[in-house]
Amino acid sequence: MTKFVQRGALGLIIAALLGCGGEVLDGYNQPLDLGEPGAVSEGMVYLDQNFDELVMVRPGLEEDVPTLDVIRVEAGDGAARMVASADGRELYVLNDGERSLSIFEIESQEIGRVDLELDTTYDVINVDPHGEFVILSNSGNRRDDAIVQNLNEVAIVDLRDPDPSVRFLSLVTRAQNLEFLPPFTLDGQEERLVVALADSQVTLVDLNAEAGADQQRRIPLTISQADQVRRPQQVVFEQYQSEGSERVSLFVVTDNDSDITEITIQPAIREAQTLKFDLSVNQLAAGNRPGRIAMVETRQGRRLLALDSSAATFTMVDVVSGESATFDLRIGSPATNLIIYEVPVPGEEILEPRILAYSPQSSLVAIIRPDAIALGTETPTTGQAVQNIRLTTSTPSRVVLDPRPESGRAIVFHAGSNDGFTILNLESLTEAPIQGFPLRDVLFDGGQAFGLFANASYLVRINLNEAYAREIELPARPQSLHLGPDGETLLVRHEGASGRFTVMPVTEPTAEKSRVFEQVFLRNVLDRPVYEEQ
Amino acid sequence: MRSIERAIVLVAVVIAMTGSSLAASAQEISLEALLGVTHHGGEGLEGVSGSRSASGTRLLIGVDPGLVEGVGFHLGWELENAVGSGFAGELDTSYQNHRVMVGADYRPVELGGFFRPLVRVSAGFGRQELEFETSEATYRGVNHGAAAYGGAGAEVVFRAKEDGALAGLAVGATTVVGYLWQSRAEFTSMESTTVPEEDLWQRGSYEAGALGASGISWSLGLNIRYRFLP
Repeated sequence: MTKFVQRGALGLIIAALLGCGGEVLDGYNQPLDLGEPGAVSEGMVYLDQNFDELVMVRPGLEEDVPTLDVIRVEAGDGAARMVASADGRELYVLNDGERSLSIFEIESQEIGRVDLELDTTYDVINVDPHGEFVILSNSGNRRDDAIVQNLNEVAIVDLRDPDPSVRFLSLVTRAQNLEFLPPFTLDGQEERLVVALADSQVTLVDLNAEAGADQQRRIPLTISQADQVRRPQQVVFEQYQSEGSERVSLFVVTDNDSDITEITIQPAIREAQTLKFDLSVNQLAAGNRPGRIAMVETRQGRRLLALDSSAATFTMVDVVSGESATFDLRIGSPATNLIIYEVPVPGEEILEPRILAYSPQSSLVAIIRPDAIALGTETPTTGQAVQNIRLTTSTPSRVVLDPRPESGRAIVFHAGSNDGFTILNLESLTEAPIQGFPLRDVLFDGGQAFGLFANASYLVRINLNEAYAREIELPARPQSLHLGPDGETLLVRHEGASGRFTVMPVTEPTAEKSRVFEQVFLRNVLDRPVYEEQ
Repeated sequence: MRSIERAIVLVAVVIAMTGSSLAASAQEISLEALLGVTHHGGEGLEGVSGSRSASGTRLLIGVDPGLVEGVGFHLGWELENAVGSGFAGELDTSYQNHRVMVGADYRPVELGGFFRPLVRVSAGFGRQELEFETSEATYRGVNHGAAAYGGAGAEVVFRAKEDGALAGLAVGATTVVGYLWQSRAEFTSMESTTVPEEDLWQRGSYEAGALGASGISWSLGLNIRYRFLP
């Protein structure tokens, strides 16, 4: 018997030793939740922090049958944050474990990767809308693993060359918000500037200056730092001709001001000047307490429009002459948001600007016609400067414009649980209320829009021209909606930690023609490495 | 029943018939019930279920036709499973491995009248079943393939008195350690088992990947034998 027991024990030991594979990767012991995805040109991308991988989910249509590809790509050690580029073709991932930035290029069949070493850890990725730069900064949120956090340090990643490069800059102020200015030409030179917004000051960062005092120029917004803090809320960029010379201006709105600060950038005139630009600061009167501002092209030229944050009015300013005029929006509450769009002029081939201004506190929406506003000694054009649309359902929580210029339609979201949404016809200034569940999001595609409900397992297909809506049933409650590459499919993301998606053909989004894909994040899970590399 | 399952049953019946005709001229028949464990060493299953091995039971019907000294044949049904969870309990995994094996045992000597070392080889079919359950859905896949086994072990035998009422009967215990080879199971088209009858939504195909079920295999059990006395 003892021999038998010994043999049994030996067998166990042999089995244990030979079968020993090492430590199982910790990712298998963590919950599956991959967080919120980023939208890219090919579909959706998740950052799987448990396995330091990017997971791309790409819908398609093969002989009218919906498909869903899942592509996994290795990211860097400790991949923590991911942001997509403006065109959805690149992904930027910060790797906390190895202090690097990974740049992923999304092609249809594969994902390329380039790594850049960083000098310290950052937790904010600021993406240039023009795709030329990425700036890394620190949010100021305290992190347990950081010994020091430089709130003023930024990393400037230059993407213009095929080999991206990075340089580091210590700003004179804390980098709270970074706004990329569009590319412009001044004195024959192409310029790229970034505005760093901080309390009571802004800093202009010249992305083309690699060294010296030109790298950053600090502009205070108050006489003394002891004055009441003015926090910049918005920066608008404008390039225009004044007195025969080219000028670039930044208009800065703060939260505690009755004026707009205009910062003018001109090439340095004096030869002895060592700096590239001459900067001058001016205060522009624009109503009682300017809130949101925008530049508008009118027949009389470029105008600055400022919504007042304390009254239901707006002010139009001629930035060259400084002339301004204030008008009543007639909506009863200060407008918090504006949307600029264009409408065709009857009988003419040109487009005219319009501005839609709304407030979540008012069921009236204002449509401003800037061409009808005369400033100073200008000859006024006939027509009403401000018209209104009354929303019969309720106040607007959000208004989204159909991006097609010739469309003239917008969707109004309402906050109430039974208020549904409203289709606005901005040409005839009429509304079509659609009662029902409130929308969470909307996607425009040609002359139609697809709406996602917040609390129902349905999509809604909205015909914008005829102003009606038809519901489309879904297998489960949706979380977000994306248009697939080539615009052939709709990708609906559902709740569920293991990954559940529905792919529907855009032309026929029915249950019969669609496919539901489940356990998407577990696809081919058995083929993945199980053990840590020894 | 699927065609492969039909084939397995047909082969088993043929073997049983052959076996029974062999048994007609047999010297000894036996029935062995074992607990077995096969150690996969991880290979995919440990991540999703936390287990490196699959364990279960084996039932062997043996016959010694007396053709070659010490050589007996057996037909075995084996069932092993591994149940566990991964991803902090969000995935429940259930794995089953059915095997039908035909094999031979070689017992060269009997020491002290009760101790016999043995060598066992067998080959047959395997059916592997995998089920992934999450809170949203359950998917199941099945894979068929070949299996083969080679191992060595020992058994102890206690025979009843030759002149007693139970003459010819013997009971014993066996343990065998060896290597089980099984063809790689590709779970490439798993199907959902939680779709309601009236559901109009079609599910897209789901692949879990490939699983290797080969590994060190150990079994331990009891047997009962009947020797036909001349």
